[in-house]
Amino acid sequence: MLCQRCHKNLATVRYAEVVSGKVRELPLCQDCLAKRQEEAGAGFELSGPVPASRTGSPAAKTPRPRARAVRACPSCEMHVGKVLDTGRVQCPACYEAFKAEIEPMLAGLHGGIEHCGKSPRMNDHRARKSIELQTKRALLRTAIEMEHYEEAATLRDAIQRLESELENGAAFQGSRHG
Amino acid sequence: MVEAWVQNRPPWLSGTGPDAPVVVWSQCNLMRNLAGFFFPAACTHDEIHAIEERIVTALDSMGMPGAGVYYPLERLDRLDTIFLGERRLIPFDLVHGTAQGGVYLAQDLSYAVAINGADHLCMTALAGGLELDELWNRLNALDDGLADCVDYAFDKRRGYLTSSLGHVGTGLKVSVLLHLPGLVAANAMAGLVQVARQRRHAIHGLKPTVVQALPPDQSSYMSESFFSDLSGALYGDINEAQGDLFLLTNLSALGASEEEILFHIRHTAADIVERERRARQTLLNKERIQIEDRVARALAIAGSAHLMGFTEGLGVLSSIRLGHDLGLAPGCTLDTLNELLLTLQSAHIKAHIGHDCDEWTLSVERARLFRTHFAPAQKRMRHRADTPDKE
Repeated sequence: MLCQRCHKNLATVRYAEVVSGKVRELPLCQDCLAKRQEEAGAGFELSGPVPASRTGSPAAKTPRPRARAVRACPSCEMHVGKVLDTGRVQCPACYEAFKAEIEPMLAGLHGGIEHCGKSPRMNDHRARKSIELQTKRALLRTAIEMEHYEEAATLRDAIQRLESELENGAAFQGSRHG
Repeated sequence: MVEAWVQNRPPWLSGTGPDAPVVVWSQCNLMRNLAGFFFPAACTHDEIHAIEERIVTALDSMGMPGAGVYYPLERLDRLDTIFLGERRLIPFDLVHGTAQGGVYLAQDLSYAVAINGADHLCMTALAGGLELDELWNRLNALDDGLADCVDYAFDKRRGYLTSSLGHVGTGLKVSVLLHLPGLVAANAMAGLVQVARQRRHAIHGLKPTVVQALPPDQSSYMSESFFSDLSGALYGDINEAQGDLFLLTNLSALGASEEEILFHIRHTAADIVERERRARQTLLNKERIQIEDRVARALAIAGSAHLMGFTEGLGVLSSIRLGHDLGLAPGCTLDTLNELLLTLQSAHIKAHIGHDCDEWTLSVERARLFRTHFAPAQKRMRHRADTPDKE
């Protein structure tokens, strides 16, 4: 998993912070861990393996509650603390208002932060087919990795069918516009 | 209302789906919110009604097969609401009475749309066995139809926006109920939980939820039931599972397409089913007498008990279900076993006898229900045991 602070390096440690008795975990790389520790001062605690460079220093210190931010959503006035406590938001605008807090939570919860599924306004037939093709290719890779060869064969057929449909569609559109 | 619903037997009880009887049922939930509104918890009464009206109008105009009826919860009594919760047609946040929502039910109960629970919409469908693709097709068609009539809260990057950060993205929650007595006996559940977690799935032990009477029905007694809880908070640890029942669910809804989520859950479930079948065979080969004893005892209790608690009923059903799969419980059908898994819940028993009742009466009626179904099977077993083997 990538570091949830810089989103560049591989996360090698799990950084756990305790805010009002609730534990929040962040997968971090070594660099970001050092930065986070500087920012947080004394109020941090490590869980999981301690990085080699720091094994000489005391790894765990007494957790100290940090001052709770009082930022609120401009639309529904929900406080950021409540979002962090409950994992719930009150309106679509909360997602934008608390972007910085929510994104690491989403990465931890789901393993990804970008939507890859269907969308409500996918009237474009070709766009729908392209997304289906992309999904089937990803599934084919997984099926081969998991040694489900029967399913892989079915997926390969479906991919070929979709590819030819898309090609024929392009040819048809080309001849219509040409 | 409940009198009409109790006659409507859910098709998933038949036990004919793929990987039955290990997979009892599969369920898909799809959560959506309308654009331009707060999520239900922050809505005013007027906004709740506006949302309700838009969704019900859209559903009525779609012309889905088996067009449904909308029931606002304020017009249902407590027993009706808990009954729908036990059938998993509404999520627990609506059962608990904290939301001012309602439910749109297809006439054949093939799908249900809970309105203004934690999200504006929660579409639900159930099928017997591991039937995820069929379920998804059903909900996907419903979702596409609704998207033509209403605007969803959708963000290109984050997908469908939901009140819970755990559902944002596809808004898809898949649950598969598994009966795993073999793996429990082999002490293999803890290892399985680890495997599932690596695949971003969770395995919960299913345990009954007790619902206390709430105002204004102070006279109502409490109920013991299995409810659909999308947050997973109601479900227990694997050690808390009753009746060897476990729920496999997806933890991730963002970063993977619906098809990928279904693919991975299907393979994890199929993997567990395979392990369970091997564990049952090992059990039968190594401990045949103990298994025969367990099944015969369970049938004896089911066929003759006069008092039966919820948890005891689940344990008895689990043993008989195992016996049925291994050919040790002649005369029992999967259909009956699935039905009892549903009807041993409190609201179903109350609906069956036609009135609210206390725990003692529930226990008496539950035992009567078991006797009706299992007394003949128990007699057959006793007859078989008494008859000397001619060979």
